Amino acid sequence: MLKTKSGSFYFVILGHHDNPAFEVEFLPAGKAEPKDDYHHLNQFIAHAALDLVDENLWLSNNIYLKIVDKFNEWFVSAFVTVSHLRFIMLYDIRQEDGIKNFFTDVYDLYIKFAVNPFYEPNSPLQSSAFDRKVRFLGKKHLLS
Amino acid sequence: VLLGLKRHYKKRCQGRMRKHVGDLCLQAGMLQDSLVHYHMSVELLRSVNDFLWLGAALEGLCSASVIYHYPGGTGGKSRALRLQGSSLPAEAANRHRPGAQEVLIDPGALTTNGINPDTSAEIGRAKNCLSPEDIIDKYKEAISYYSKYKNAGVIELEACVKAVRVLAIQKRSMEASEFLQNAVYINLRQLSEEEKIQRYSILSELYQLIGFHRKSAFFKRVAAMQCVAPSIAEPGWRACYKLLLETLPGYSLSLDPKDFNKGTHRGWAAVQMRLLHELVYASRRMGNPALSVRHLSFLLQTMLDFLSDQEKKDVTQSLENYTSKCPGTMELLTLPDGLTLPPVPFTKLPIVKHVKLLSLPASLRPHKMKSLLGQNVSAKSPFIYSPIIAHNRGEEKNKKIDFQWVQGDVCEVQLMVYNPMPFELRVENMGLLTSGVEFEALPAALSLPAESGLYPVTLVGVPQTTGTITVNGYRTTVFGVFSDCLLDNLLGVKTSGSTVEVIPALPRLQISTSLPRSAHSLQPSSGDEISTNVSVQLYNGETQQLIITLENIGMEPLETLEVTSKILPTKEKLYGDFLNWKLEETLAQFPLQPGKVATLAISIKAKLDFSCQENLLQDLSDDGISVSGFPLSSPFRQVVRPRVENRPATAPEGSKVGDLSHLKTLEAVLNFKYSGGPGHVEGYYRNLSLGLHVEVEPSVFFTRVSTLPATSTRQCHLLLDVFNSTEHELTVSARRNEELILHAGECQRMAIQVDKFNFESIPESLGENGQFANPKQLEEERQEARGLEINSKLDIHWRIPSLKRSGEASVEGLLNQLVLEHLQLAPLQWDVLVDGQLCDCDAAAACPVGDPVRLEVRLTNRSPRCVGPFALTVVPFQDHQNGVRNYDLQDTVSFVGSSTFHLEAVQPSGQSACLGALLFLYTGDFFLHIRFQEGSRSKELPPSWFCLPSVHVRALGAQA
Repeated sequence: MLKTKSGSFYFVILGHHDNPAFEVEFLPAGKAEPKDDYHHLNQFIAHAALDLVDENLWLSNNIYLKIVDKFNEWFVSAFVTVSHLRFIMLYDIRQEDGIKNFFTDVYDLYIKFAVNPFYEPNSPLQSSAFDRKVRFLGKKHLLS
Repeated sequence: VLLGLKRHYKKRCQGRMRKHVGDLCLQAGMLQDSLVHYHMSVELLRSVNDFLWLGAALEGLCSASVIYHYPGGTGGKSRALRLQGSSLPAEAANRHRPGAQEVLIDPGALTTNGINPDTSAEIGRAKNCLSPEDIIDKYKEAISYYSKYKNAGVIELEACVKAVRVLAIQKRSMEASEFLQNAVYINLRQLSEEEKIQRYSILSELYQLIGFHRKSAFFKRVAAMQCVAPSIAEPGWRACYKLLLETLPGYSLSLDPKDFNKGTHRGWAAVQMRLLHELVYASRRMGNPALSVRHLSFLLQTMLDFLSDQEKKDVTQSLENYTSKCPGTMELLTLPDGLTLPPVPFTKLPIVKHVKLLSLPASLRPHKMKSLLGQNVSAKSPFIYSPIIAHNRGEEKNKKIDFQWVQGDVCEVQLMVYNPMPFELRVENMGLLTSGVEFEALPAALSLPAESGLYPVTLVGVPQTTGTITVNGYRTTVFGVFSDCLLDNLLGVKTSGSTVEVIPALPRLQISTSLPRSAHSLQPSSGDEISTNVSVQLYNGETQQLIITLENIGMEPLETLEVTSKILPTKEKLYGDFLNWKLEETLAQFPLQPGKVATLAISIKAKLDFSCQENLLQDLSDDGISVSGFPLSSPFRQVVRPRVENRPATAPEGSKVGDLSHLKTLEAVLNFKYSGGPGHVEGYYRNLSLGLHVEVEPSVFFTRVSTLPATSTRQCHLLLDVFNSTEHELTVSARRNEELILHAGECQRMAIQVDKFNFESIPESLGENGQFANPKQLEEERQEARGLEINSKLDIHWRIPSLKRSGEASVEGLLNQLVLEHLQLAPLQWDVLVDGQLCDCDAAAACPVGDPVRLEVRLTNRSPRCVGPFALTVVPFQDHQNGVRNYDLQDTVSFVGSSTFHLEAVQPSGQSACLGALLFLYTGDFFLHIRFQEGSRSKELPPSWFCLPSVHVRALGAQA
């Protein structure tokens, strides 16, 4: 699995049963859609990283856990919310600050959606507005 | 410098030698010595920067310490066995366990702490041994030295693995994961494919050891993929499959579909689906299509909610491809290594939302005889009625339904299903799964449209024996996969009970009638469920035969039959018996064997009110002929009313529209209670209902009724204005009268001479019934009875020759009090006898001129009271037939004695008479008018009581 560094990001919010609540990928401009296999690999890596997230959780005072895992060229950073929702970011170029800001902003955004009485915690976030705003935050913090 | 080099070289040799001696000591089981040697070696080598050997010496030190601390080994039992001969420390640990025990009884250790079980601390302190923390530090150091050498990758990896095992025992998983993280990136050159697989497997196992199941699964899958990498000439699909199976727990996936019924989905569905697809593919390449089918069914069943429409199509497509060669079964699949794959019933294809056992149709539903019902009730509670319903939890669970199924009859279960697929779903062999009673399920095939919404499906079967049957579930074949879906395992299924009693077989009765079936259904308020409806159109007063054919279409003989009828409430007043039948002839053919037929004739008589509606009555009576003062001396003359001519031309059409409202409806339900066979023995019967819808069209109307006195006081003329409301020519006939022809819409008067009635005899029969009724009701009943009597005397019939239909007409509804009084025979019966001859009719009594004629007035009192005394005056007169009456007859008629008679008071049912004599002086026709004298007549008696016949006497010349 050797890839040239591309600066792409894969972000996923995972619920209490390791179930994805939200998934999004950020690719640098001009890069073609990745093939299916690659997409699955992201998911597998993010899933495997959960073990480390759950362990790191107890060792850190912060909810932002920095880099918890890496596999091949991928780094995995995590952010665990108070309700134990796990934000996982896969990326191949180190960009600590951007990711930290992105996590914080997405958390703000998530809280706004979670207070909606019609949103059942832990269920998939299907709001197009949420999706649009996360993509905007991704562009702002990650791809700029 | 040379000396320095030489000393340096000497130290290096010494250090390496010490390390070697340490190894040998360790192999020989002399742990103490080895520790000492390793320590010395480390010190010597550290000073000369011989890093590779330093690392080795450190590792030796760690190994020896580990043997002290963890005499049981670090790998666990299975691990130790597998690595026999390849792993030195593990082997050494095994071999030196006795040595370690020797250490345990070291006197120094005993003296300090008594029998302290914490031996590791003792050992560490007493014998140059590393503490647990130190072991890890030293491993770290060793690994860092190894990493300086590119060729030392293998030993670096080995050191990592060992360190992880120690950390695993110490439950320091985070640090262990750091070691493993490092181990992943150790670059090993020219590894064979098998070695690569082994490396990933070991990594996976180590992650498992430190409790990182997801990481472990990840590497296990990488190993599995490695088994079938394109670079391998002979892909190991079997190994791949086995490794993939081992990854499933790490992805929260089990292969038992029941685990997916418990609430929310666990795990990452996309990842799980990917794994299942890989399992399917691997098992196919292994050449085990049954496994592929099982995994694919599992994927479809458990991941249905996460599949996109396109994926659903693809998965079912490939499932159908697989099952065409190897159909999916409900059997447990056992893998060679003992793992079993439970069956996957398709409970979501289709999704069943509601299961309802249906009672038999109303006509086939068994009923329990009343006499036996009592036993059931008394068994439950000593009270006849209690407001507290005994809620028994056990009973509720039983879910027994309060209707019965019958052995040998087709029973139905209704399922509400829907198809979650974006395409048409074909379900084959859908049948019921039952227990308790031998049951023949009749499977059905259905085709559900894409995303159908709730769709009712009825599954049927025939119970072959009696007892209690439980519907456990259903069976389907979808995409070539056989599924047995049990209701208990279904999520969100509403069921209103699934247990039903099956009672012994009963016969089945089929009814067909001579009348056409009707689309009319009786009003729902009727309560009974009607299986068949027939309808008939009758003219008011018409009678028609209804032939009912009873056929036993069941398998049991029909032994008993009871027929009852219920006339649905109507605002119309019905005269006479609406329905009439004789069951005896039919019952003579019983018992009716299966396939045999019997008939029953029922006569339907529709006799409604013949009086006309208010509007019509007004319409017809506006020609101003007064009834009371009708001056006709001969009532036989028919008066053709000028109605037809007077009506405007459009009237017939207009009246036809109005006629629709004249159409009246009578409805009745015929109930056939029947039983036979074993069910009869058990006290069950069936009830078949036949709905009868009768539309009554008006035939004739009596628009007006009046009376005219006849010449005899015992008779009277009943005048009826008959109106033909049909569109056909109609004839009306009454008793002794000729037929009267009426054209459509014509009205004619009809006079019928009737004997007056003595009603007093009738009401006696009502005495008992009327006792409790109020006077008004009593009066009504009395009037009804009178109407019936009059009607039977009149016997009016109508006939429509063009339709060949006929019927009766009844005046019952239109006789008012006045008419009745006229028709009633006066309770005081007056008889006038002239010369001993009764004078009543028109016939004149002949008597000779010159001779006194005896005149007798006789009174019979039929009233219940005493009447009289009366004074009567006889007034003779002559009628000139031109309206002039000559009362001045002193010269022609003379009385012998007084012209006034006196009658004494007459007791009830008594008789009294008074006598006088007349002398006619001339011949001629004379009339005698007998009058009551003013004042003597009792005012309280009705005038009709004093109706005396007028006497016509013809005085004839004396015969020569």
